[in-house]
Amino acid sequence: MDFYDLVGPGFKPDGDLAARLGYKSVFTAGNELLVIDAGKESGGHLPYVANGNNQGRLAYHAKNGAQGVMPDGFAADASLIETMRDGECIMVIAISQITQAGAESRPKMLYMAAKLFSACRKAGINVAFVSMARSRAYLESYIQMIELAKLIGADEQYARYSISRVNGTLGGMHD
Amino acid sequence: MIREKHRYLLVEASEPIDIGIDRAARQKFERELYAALRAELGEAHYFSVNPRLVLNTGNNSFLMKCSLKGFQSLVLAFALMKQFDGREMGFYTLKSSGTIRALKDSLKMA
Repeated sequence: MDFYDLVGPGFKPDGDLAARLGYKSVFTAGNELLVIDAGKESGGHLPYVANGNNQGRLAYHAKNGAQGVMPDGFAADASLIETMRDGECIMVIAISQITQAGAESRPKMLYMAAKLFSACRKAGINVAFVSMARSRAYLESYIQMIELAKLIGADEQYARYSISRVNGTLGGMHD
Repeated sequence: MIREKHRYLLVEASEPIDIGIDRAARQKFERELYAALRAELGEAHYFSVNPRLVLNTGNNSFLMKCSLKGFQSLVLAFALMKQFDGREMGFYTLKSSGTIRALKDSLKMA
């Protein structure tokens, strides 16, 4: 199984770092895959992920062509989950929201991520784990991503599957 | 006596680190690393994981040894550790193995 990661805009791991971390490829938001502000922008023709905290706008994008939804703070209400249940749109969990959180807010972020993951799986929505790292310090190797996914509630098999999703379901324009 | 099973990890720092060639420098690095891991794992859990620096492999990477049952915790501790030596820094778990020889062999092949 090949693993892929998505990092924040303006950042690209240099040299062979992506290969050392165990990824076949690391995509940059804004280059290979658009990540748009769900509250302000509308999606274009390229594959895109809607990001934000406005639940109505996230649901709108989920219904109207977004490949993925990445809610800020892992907050997703019942109507968003219900909307996504009917479509192909997947839930994107950005690990950097956990690793960038301070020591005090990290347990809450982990709890929110676990709750979101559980709600999505119960509704049959696929989940992708990505780092969304904005610098080298916030990158994770595929081994670490698997363990973080397991910490959030995935089993080993689903954790591996969800780290290969960036290429498959999100974007899907490589290989 | 039951022999405890171990797991070995190849870890790389995202920024340049001074693991030290001489004993004093290495001990200083070890102290800082263990303190950072203790902060992530918690005092009680740290001793069940029992992380130990085994080898400086160069290029900002090193080999760690831990108890088999503490493997996941140590991987997570390195994943969540984003500050070290007063700097913003991440640690990548690149490979893991049940024997140190397998990791050394993979380093030779790289």
